Amino acid sequence: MNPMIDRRALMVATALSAIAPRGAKAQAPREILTFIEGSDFDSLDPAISRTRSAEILLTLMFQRLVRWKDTALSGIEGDLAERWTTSADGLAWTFQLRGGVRFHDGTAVDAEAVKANFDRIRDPRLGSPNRSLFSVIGDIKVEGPLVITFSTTEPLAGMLEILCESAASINSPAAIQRAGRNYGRNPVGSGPYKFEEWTPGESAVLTGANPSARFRRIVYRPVPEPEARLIELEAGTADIATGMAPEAVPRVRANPRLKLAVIPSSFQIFFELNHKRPPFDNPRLCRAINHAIDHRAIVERILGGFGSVPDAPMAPGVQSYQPQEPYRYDPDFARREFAAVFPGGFTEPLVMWTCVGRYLKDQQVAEAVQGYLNAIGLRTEFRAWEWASYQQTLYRRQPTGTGYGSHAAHMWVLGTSIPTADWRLSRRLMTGQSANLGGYSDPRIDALLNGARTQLDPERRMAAYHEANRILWTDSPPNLFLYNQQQIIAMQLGIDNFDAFAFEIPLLNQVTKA
Amino acid sequence: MSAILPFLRFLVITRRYMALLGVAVIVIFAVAALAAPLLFDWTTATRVNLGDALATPSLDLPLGADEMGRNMIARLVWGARTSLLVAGVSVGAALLAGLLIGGLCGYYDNRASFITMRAMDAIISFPRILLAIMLITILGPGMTSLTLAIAISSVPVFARLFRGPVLSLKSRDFVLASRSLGAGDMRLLFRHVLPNIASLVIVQGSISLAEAVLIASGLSFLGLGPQPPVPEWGAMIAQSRSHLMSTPHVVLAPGIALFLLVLSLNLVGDGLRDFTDPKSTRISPGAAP
Repeated sequence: MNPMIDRRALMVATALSAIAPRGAKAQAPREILTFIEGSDFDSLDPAISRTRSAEILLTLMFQRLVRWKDTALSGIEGDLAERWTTSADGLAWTFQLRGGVRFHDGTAVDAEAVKANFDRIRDPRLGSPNRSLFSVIGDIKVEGPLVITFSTTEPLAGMLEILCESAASINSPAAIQRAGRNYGRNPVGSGPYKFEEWTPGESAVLTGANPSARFRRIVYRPVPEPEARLIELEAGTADIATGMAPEAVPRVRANPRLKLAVIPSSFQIFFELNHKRPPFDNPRLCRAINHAIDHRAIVERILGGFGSVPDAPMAPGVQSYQPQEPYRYDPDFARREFAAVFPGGFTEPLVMWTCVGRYLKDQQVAEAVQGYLNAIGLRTEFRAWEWASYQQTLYRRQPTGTGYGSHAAHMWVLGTSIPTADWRLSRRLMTGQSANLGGYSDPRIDALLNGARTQLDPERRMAAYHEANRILWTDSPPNLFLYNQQQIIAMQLGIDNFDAFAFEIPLLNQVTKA
Repeated sequence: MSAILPFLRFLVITRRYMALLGVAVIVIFAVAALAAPLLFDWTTATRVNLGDALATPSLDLPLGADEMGRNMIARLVWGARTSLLVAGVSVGAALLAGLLIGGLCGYYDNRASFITMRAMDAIISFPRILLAIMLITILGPGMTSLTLAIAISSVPVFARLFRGPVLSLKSRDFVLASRSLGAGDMRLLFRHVLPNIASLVIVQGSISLAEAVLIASGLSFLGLGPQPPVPEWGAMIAQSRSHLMSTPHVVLAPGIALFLLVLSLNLVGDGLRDFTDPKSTRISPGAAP
């Protein structure tokens, strides 16, 4: 044998052996997607969870009867349901399920399983925070192995929208039975990924369960500090990080290995007003206070331009959104309005509550608002809270909480991202709703929302929401509107096809990783 | 007051220039804190002016403006007032309470004092900052509860520190002599025993002051201090820390102020210890023999 060839063969072999493991190493991370966010979640049981971060994983692990077609919410398509029909009177919805679908534990996804899920979430003993969403559904009947009918006492225009909610995810009844109280930590669905493990505060891991899964694994890690998330991206230990701080954006842009996505959000941030006590029991002053703050300066100077000035009682991207005239910054007008209603001046201090770190620059914005309110001669008392205790306190009925408008604070910072008009508006603004913390009550709004609920003609239904939006913006505003959020998401250069719903749920299974 | 001049003389003679510098810094901060309302009025320190957000230092704004466009130097001066007030009041109250508890428990060596001292030990076994956080969680954040939390968490330290010397002093001859002359317990304790640990009180007080300033700003950093718009250094650092890379002055100004004050208090504390220690013949390194 020619020694030359021999040597060359040896060289090739050596080179191959050097490349091979490196190639394999590059392959492995390509199959694993690491996603980092600011917060951990409470539970992975779709019926129980009230955190948005859990929803990111729930959409990967579970299927629902129907789902939104795309992130623009342009329509609804079947997920577990193959097709559906509505009865002539609009009172019964019949869904035909796809055959052959199985949960990750091997049991079949059939009509019985679907019924068991909705019976469970509507059972008061479960204590689901989403129960009232589904309590409008009346009777649920299994018509055949794969046929199920939902009936209501009145036509329910938003039926499909309700079924798109992550709380409407279909769990394996066998797994719920088996895990009992621990189900929130052992969820079993039928989506592209199945649950592998969750160490609270550390990480949650999902593994691909069927061919539609693009990744072998998706790793979710909570990293509370925005700065730390950026450092992880720079170090290459994470692929996608959400909730970047505006001041970190130049650093992301300057880094050749990273890129930035700015996606509109349906989150609108506001000070909810206490409508049961002076001064905000008077709609005139609710309007006036919206003129007291400079929305544009807040968006540009504090949010660094990553946000928008509110021009409707909801953010763009929410169903029924229509832009209206933004509130003009006119502190003198606001001052005159207060003087007209309270001739000696409103002497009681306004108690302002804010959470810290939940929404983009929440505390800073709240402090700026305090500055604006002081500038029109109002006395203010400020109270900043960490999110968990804030949330608990708000919903407390005792004098230490908001008590649904009757106690303590005059205004408190909140945000909401719900994309459907009915749930978004009725949840906080209808008289007597459990999330209506400010005690807002306007018979016109109640009538419009109730009417729209049973209005099956989409155009007339939207017209009702538009009218409600007009009242909520120009006539009787429920909130001191602050800003519409934007999602600032940074990722490695090799990540493509990233998209997210406006309600801040990214579609991680669509992402490609080079 | 009359002890200040000999102390300064002592520092000069023993060439403790760092401690002298510390005295100077503390005097500057104290004067600024006292004169805060004269230097900058309250609205200057709290007025939000988003047009000036993150302004860099200039003639109008010698230290620039924070992310809400508030005058940094005014906030710094008012922040000194907050810090010194919280630290001073809390350490003063804790000293008094500690002196009383330590003195009584040292003087009366009985069952009640045993129980009290074990209770102090129990409190001391909690990390101080954790104890303060628990107290503030109960009381609700604010300047009063911050002061109270720091005071309560310092009492056991003082009580334990002062009990020892009282215990040994009470059996000393001069105390026994007064007792034989018919002096009552209270007179013995307050006229003869406690004055003899005055130096210990002063030294411990100045060192605790540094610690109190740090804990106060640490708690404010966590959002447990005075609520906005009251300027506080720890809270200022917390709010602007994300701008460390882009506009460092908003973080560095309160950070350096805090560093200088705490360092100075410690230096002065060291100087006081040497000054009050009768056995101290130490002269700072490099001093002429």
